[in-house]
This record gives sequence, C-alpha cells and structure tokens, in this order.
Amino acid sequence: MTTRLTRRDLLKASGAALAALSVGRPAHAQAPKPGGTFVSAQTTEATGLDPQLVPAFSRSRRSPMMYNQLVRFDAEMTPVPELAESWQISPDGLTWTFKLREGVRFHDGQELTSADVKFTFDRLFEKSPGKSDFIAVDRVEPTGRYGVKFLTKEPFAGLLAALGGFWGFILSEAGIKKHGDLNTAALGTGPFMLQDWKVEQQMVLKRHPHYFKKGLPHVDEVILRIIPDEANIVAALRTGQIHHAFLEDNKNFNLLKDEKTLTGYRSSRLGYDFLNINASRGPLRDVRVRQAISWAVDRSQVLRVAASGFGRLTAPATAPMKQWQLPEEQWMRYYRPDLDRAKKLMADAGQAGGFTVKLGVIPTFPTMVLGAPVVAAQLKRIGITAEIENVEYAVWIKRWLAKDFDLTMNTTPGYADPDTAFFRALHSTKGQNWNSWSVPELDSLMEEGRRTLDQKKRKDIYDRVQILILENVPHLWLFSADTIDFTQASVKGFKQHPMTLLYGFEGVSLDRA
Amino acid sequence: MRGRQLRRVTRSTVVVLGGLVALVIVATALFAGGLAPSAPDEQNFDLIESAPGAKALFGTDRFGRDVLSRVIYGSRISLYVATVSIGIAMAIGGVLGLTAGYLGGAWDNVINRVMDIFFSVPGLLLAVGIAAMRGPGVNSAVVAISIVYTPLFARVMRGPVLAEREKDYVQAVRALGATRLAVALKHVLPNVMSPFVVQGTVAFSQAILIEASLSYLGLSAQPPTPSWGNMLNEGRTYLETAPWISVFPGIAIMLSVLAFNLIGDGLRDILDPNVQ
Amino acid sequence: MGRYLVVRAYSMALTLLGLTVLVFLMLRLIPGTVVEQMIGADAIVSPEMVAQLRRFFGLDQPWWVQYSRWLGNLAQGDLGTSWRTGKPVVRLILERLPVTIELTLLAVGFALALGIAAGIVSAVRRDRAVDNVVRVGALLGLSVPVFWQGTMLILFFSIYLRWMPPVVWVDLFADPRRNLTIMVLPALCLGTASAANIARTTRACMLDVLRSEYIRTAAAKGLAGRAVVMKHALKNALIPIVTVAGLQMGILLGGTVVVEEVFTLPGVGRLVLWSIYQRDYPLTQSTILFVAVLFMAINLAVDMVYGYLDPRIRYGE
Repeated sequence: MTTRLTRRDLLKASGAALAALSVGRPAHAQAPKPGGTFVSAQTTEATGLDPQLVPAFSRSRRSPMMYNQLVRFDAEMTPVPELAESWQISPDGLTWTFKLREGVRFHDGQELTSADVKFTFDRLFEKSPGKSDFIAVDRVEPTGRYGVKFLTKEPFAGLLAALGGFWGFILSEAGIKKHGDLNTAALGTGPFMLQDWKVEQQMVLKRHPHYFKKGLPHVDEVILRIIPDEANIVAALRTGQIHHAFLEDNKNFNLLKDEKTLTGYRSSRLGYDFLNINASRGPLRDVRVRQAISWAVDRSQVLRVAASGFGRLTAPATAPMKQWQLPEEQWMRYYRPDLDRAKKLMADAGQAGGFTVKLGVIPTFPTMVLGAPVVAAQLKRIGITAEIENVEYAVWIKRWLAKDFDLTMNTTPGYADPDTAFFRALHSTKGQNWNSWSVPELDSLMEEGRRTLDQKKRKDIYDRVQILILENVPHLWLFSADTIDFTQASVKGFKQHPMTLLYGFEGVSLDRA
Repeated sequence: MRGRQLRRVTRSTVVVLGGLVALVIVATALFAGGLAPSAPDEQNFDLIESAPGAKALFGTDRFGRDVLSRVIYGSRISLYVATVSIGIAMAIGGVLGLTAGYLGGAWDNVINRVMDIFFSVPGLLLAVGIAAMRGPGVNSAVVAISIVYTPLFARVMRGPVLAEREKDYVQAVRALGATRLAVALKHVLPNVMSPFVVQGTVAFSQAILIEASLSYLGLSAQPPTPSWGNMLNEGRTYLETAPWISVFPGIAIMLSVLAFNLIGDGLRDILDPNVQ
Repeated sequence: MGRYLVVRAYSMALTLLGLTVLVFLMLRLIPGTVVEQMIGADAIVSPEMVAQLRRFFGLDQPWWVQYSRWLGNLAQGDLGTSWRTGKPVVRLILERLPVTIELTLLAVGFALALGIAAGIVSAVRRDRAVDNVVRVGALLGLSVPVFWQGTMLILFFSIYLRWMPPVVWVDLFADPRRNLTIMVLPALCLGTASAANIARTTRACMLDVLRSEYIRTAAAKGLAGRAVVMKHALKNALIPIVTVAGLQMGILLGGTVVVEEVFTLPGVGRLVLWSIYQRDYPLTQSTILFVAVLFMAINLAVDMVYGYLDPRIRYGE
C-alpha cells in the first residue's frame, strides 16, 4: 500500500521534468540580450571551492555556478530534475534509480556519464563531511551509461533533499584526476567555468559554451568581487560599479530601496538564526529553565534589531519549507513573551535567584553580534545574566564541536527536508546532538520520519516533532531574516532562491540600452 | 627631576594644558558611574538611532544605547590598556636596558639580539599580529602593546646608561667599593631617567592610539563592552543614517592622544633639550 | 663599507632566524587550527576524518619536525604553499605587494611634500600666525587615529559632497587613473602622522641652522633671504630630515595593515591578518618573514643614505 502511494507521489514530483527548463527561462517575453560581463559583490570570500571538502556556506553558495546537482529545488522548494531526467523508487523503498540527461558536457568537453556520478559519491562517502547527509545510503551503482542506482540501508525519505542540498554537486572523474582536489580549480557541468581566482579579491568565470540548458547562460563572463565592507557595497551599487549584491545587513535595504537605478529583491529564506542551548550545562539541564528562557525572549525585538525587521518569526520548519508548515497559531503561542510565566518556571526549577551563563557570539556574523545584546537584556529580566563572549570562528567551531558552551548565538542556511533539518541536530545518539540532550520520544519520532515515504504520514510525524521541539526548547528559533538582493535595473532575469545559493546567475542578462 | 625642572614644568602652558585635559579624561574614567547618564549597555527600543538632542546628548545607537554614556565608559578601556601596557613595557624594558648597558658583554649581546627580532617587524603590524594570534580581548591588546614597546624602552635606557657608565664619577664610586647594583640604582639611573620618562609619555599617547586601532579591528575590547575603537567600528555601518555614533568616540580618542602628546612635548623641551 | 655590509647581513640573518622560531611557535599557540576552519559547524565529524586532515597538513608531526621542514624549504627559496588557497605563498605575496608598496610610497611622498614645505614655512615665519597653524596642525596630525580620519573623510566626501572613490579594486597597471582615485584617501590618511612628524623635524632643524654662524655670514654677504634658506639652510637640515623620513617609511609600512583594513585594499597587511584568522600557517609565517626582510632592507637603505649625506659617519664596528 505504502509503496503504491509513494510511487504516485514521486511520479507527481518527477512530472515536473517537463517544466524543468522553466527555471532558467526569463520571465519576460522580450528575448534577453546575450553577452557582457556581470559583476557581483560579496562580503566574504570562499574558503575553498571543492564541493566535497569545504563545508563553509561561502563554498555552497558558489558551487551552482560551476556544478550541477542531480536534482534541485525550485523556488517553491519542490525537487525538480536537473542532471537527472527522472527517477523511480523500488517497491521495497530501498532502491532509487535515476536516469541521467544525455549529452551533458563538462567544462573540458567530456560527456557526463554514470561513472562520474558513481565516482562523485564514492569520493563523498570516503572523505567528505557531507556524507552525513547521505547517512542511510549504502552504495551507488551505475546501470548503463546513463543510469544510476542509489541503494539505501532503510527506506530513506531524505534522499532527494540530500541530492539537491549543499553536498550534492556532481564532479568529473577526470577533473579530480587532473587537479587532485578542487579547492582552486573547478571542472563541472555548471553554467560557468572558473577562469581565474585571486583570493580575497575576485573570481572570474567564463560562460560554459556547451551548457546543457540551451541558450544559457546569457552573459559571457561573471566576476565575483570581494568587497568586505557592506557600506562600500552599498556605495558601489549606487554608483553602478557592480551589477549585483546580496545584503548581509538587512538595514541597508532602507538605504537602497528608493534608488531608481536599482531593482530590489526580497523573499523568505530557508535559513534562520537561533539561540543554541547546551542542555547539559548546570541549570540549563532543567527543561523548565529552558522554557523560561523561551518565554522571556521577545523574538520580534531580536528580529527588529538584528535584521531591521526584514524577516519573520519562524516555527522550526521555516517559511520556504512549505509542505512542512505548522499552522501559525500552533507555534506563535509559544512566542508571546510572558515574564510572569517565565519567572514562575524559574522558581519551580529552584532558580528564582537566577544564574550566570556565557553567551557565545562570532564577531564576524552581524546578526549574531546584533542579536546577542538584545537576548542578554531580555534574559536579565528573569535573573539570568548572559555574559556575551566573542569567539573567533575557528575557536568557536572547535568549542562547538566539543559542546564547550552554555548558550551561543547560531545561524544555519537551513535544510529543505525535515529529516536533514532536525535529525542530525537533535537526535541524541545518531546525529550530532547540538544540545547534548536526550528526548527519547523525539528520537523515535525522527527515526520514524526518516523511514516514512508517505508524505501525509510524514507530515503528521514532523508536526509532532515541531511541537515537541517547542516544548523542550533545544534552541530558540529567533527569526528567519529575509534574503535581500539588489541588482542594477538594467539586469534582467535575476532570481532569488530560498537556499540563497547562486542559482540565479545562469539566467541573468544585461540590458545595455 | 629636580626642583628647578619641576618649576619649569608647571610654568609651561603646553604641559599645563595637556595635563588639565588628561586630568579630565582620567577623572571621567574613574567616575564614569556617576557621570554617565545611563548604563553603557542599557537598551532603549523607543529611542533607536536617534540624533543628538535633549534625550541623548550624543545621540543613540542601533540598540538605543546612549552614545555619551558609552564614550564615558569607553575611556576606561583606553586608559587601562595604555597604563598597564606601558607600565609593563617600561618596567621590563627599563630593567633590560639598564642591565644590558651597565653589565655589557654577553648579556648585552643577547638582549640586543632578541630586541632586534622584535624590531625587525614594523610596530603596528607586530601589535596587530600578536593580538590576532592571541585572540580578541583587552588582555591581547595589553600583551601586544607591551611587546611592541619593551624593546623601545630597553633601547632608550641602554644608550644613556652606556654613556653614563664611562663617566668619571661612576668609575670613582666604583673604585670606592660600591657594589655594581648600588651604583646602577643610586647613581646611573637618576641621571638617565629624563629621556626615559619623556619616551614614556609619548608612548602612552601612542598606546591609546594603538589600542583604538586594535579595538577598531575587533582585536581588543569586545562588544558590548564599549571602547572608543569598537564604537567606531560599530558606527561605521551607520555613517549615513547615524554619523554621531562614529563622530564622538573619534573626538575622544583624538583629545586624549593630543593631551598626552602635549605633556610629552612640554616635558621633552624642559627635561631633555637635546633630543628632538 | 664592504665590511660593514657583511656584518649587517650577518646580523640580519641571525635576526631572521630568531624571527622564524618566534613566529612559528606563536602560531602554534593559537587555539584552533586550519582543520576546524575547514570542517565548519554543520557536519558530523568522525575522529578519523579529523586525524586524516591533521595528517594531510602535517599537524600530527612534532613541532620541531614541522619547523625544520619549513626552514629547509625556506633555505631552498621555497616559501611554501598556502593551505587555504592551495597557491604558492610567493605568488600570493607578489599579487598583494604592489598595493602595499604603492600605498607606502604615495604616503611617504605626501608626507615629505607637505611636511617639508610646512616645516620650512613655519621656521622662516617663526611665531607668526602660519607657524602657529603648522604647529597646532602637526600636533593634531599626530593625534588623529588613522581609521577615524578615514571614516570621516569617507563621510564627508560621500554624504556631503556626493562623491565616492571607486570601491571596486583596480590594479595600478590596469587603469592608473582609477587606481589613483582609489588610493588618494588611504595614502592621505596613512601619511598624515608622518607629515606631522616631518614638519616638526624640518622646522626644528631649520631653526637650528638659521641660528648658526654661517647662515648669518651668508646673509651678511648680501644673499637674499629666500636664496639663503633654500640653498644653505635646507641643505644642512637635510640629514635629520632624511633620517626621519626613512624611519617614517618603515612605520608607514606597518601602518598599511590598518589602512588596508579600513579601506579594504588588497595589500600584504590584510593578507597577514586573513591568514592568521584562517590558521593558514605557511602563509602567515612566510609573509611575516617577507615583510621583515623588506622592513630591514628599508632601514639598511636609510642608514646607507645617511652615511652618504654625512661623510663624517664612519661605518665602524
């Protein structure tokens, strides 16, 4: 029974195959002008480019320029075919078979085959931190030149999300053989080919002439400039020195929104900012204390300061995860600040007098720096003194991996599927357990959710998971800031993506009227 | 310093002017709690980024915090770092320079070699590098500035000591059977103190500047603790909408550096007319 | 002279050797390594993976093995390969060096031009209004923090004059005019304190010389005021001015790290900072060493010029 329903669901999804190319098709009727150099500015440089060795989001953002995935999420966060034309799942739910698009070429002109896909995932499982996305996958096997099988240890509902996620980019076997790793080189099937990279200055990419999406990309060249100071990016947009920028600090939206020469884009993003609680530290072990924290923090105030109000409060599943939404009234009621209730919970937990904890912040993350003082001031009202501690990125990571923190501001680019979004963060033994905690009911629900391929049943499970999260308070989902991009008005065809990856550049064209 | 010199110091308008300003700044730091209209981290969401006016003399920042109060509290960081780091540098550098110059020989050689290593990297780059390696924090600034200035004080001490050692009276006292230490402390040291003190005042003003630079680069005092440098850094993104966040801490830095520069200038003219 | 150079070179080599040990050890004392930088927060990490990465970077070796390997490579002229970028360190330095040198030279040029001119005027018109303006201006110039000056200039130009220097970096050789428009403000900020220093030195030296015997003699011979000043006084005041200017050049080289950060210029100073944050040991080590060599070379050159200008100085010892 389950299997049949599943297959129908999946067929529905792969029915989108026909519409696949619409992603790159410009929205307006007029034919886009080809040619030109498109200049985009970023505040942070990529720490490396290898899609399997570099976990930083700065890398993930850039990967779609040079690589493609088998599947990708569209603007509605529905998986649609990319390098894979279609896929099927076996009745026992353990084998997924993908049919590759034919005639797809890598930058060196060689054709993409199933051997490259197998090579990609063998390497991923061998040496990439990204293998945790594919935890239930046993192995990948080619079936013919254009077919690939994913064999899973148990039914694995998160596979499409993993393939369309940050670790799903397909490499060329020849590329690895040639370059060793791909930190400073790129050899993919993507719309642009890496031409030159001066670290902390700029990355130059040329149009891929044999790109499999016909007619794309429109521009001849893309330059990614590093301009570390956003004030300068704002100035550069105004004076027309760059075509595009993604704003890190949402307050700058106000500075640019009335400029006639610019087009602004604003949409919800998959990622969110959160207050990460270490539930193994002193008073934070007590769920009542964590609940008190949740009642004490006025999330809309944090949103107002940290993202200038451009964003929204969010349930554990953020707005772009449309099919996993909890009805607003079910989560909003946890977010209304209630100091009396918070104080009572503190007293019940024997902490009426309050206590002192450290609140970690990475100084290079603006939303953390801005959010932390607000959180600290609000915790002060129920007697919790949160001492803000600025910790450099490398040290923060080290401590965070060792669970050496009390409270820390944290941020994540988010995940499309609730399995990847919750399991690794919150499962007490099989995931990464970001909170050093254990809620057995939650563990078993998340395991069930991973195995369940039926969409409706899965939805019920994850509704329950979200409520459990809100009641046990591992993190405080503080807010999900809007993604804000600006382009010159002469730029046509730019599209934002909820994952904030740079998918949008393949469709841009420059109107040089 | 002898009585005559002291009188000349108090008569120099430059020194008196600088001294007064410095006194005001020190007093501000000491009595920050009483002077500041509000606590430096008190947020007021009804008064975000409001311009200087009756409610907030220097305006407020993105959290609605009072810029005046933060500038007042910020003086503590500047003075603390400058005092401690220059104190350490003068103590260690002074001892090293005195012993090197007075004892000479292998010890002098070793110290010179080690000092050369620190002199081989430009001062500010050295400070920034050390602070970055130690990780952000007020103490990193103290360590960095101490390390940059220790070799300088050693050198300033060593030269005159070397010259003094050869003078007749020192030889005479030595011949009378005084111990080396006694001679060094009682006779040589007082005679070489002038350039050392002058250098100390100048270095103090530079230390305020370097601390501000380190804070600005995010390597010294960490927000939300206010320091003039980190306020400037925070204010940088609000230049267009709220320039007052950047203007006032900058004026504060400039005034204090100026004050100690004036004192240093005046002292140099009086105590040490040969050094330009 | 030749002997002097040999001695200097020997002493510089010793200093550099000491510096390698110092930098190497300091870097190893920083918490966190390139491995944590690379792994990032959002991944399930197995201890094997961490061990594998540590092995890859040679971080599993005892420090003296790592040190001697680096030193061995240095001895062969190999500055190593940057861990974070995979590029040879020497290439990264050479990419950035022109920016830092250009910035330093522009600042020195500005400081010399303004400093000497102001110093002369101030000395000749002693105790008049101009003199007072210069003296106060010099004091202010010494007291203003570089980054604040930069911020205020940007504020002034961009918001009140609605003019903004290009923020997108262009190489000097690619587009000299555009490049210079970018560099003007940073060089101005960087050079201000030095200009103040040079002005003060020039003024003091000129006053000394103007008071001295032979200038009065020259004046008595009937030479006009201006000619006296330019020809005789300045020539004699030149030695200390050159010394100060040379010292300033070294100081400015260090100051570039702050100015490059404030104006986000792609110079060597920012490379050093970035590499420290990234825990890219080979890059930090070799770049600092490189800057030290440059710095010592400047100091040596200053000493040589000094000796050339003032033949009384003998290079003994």
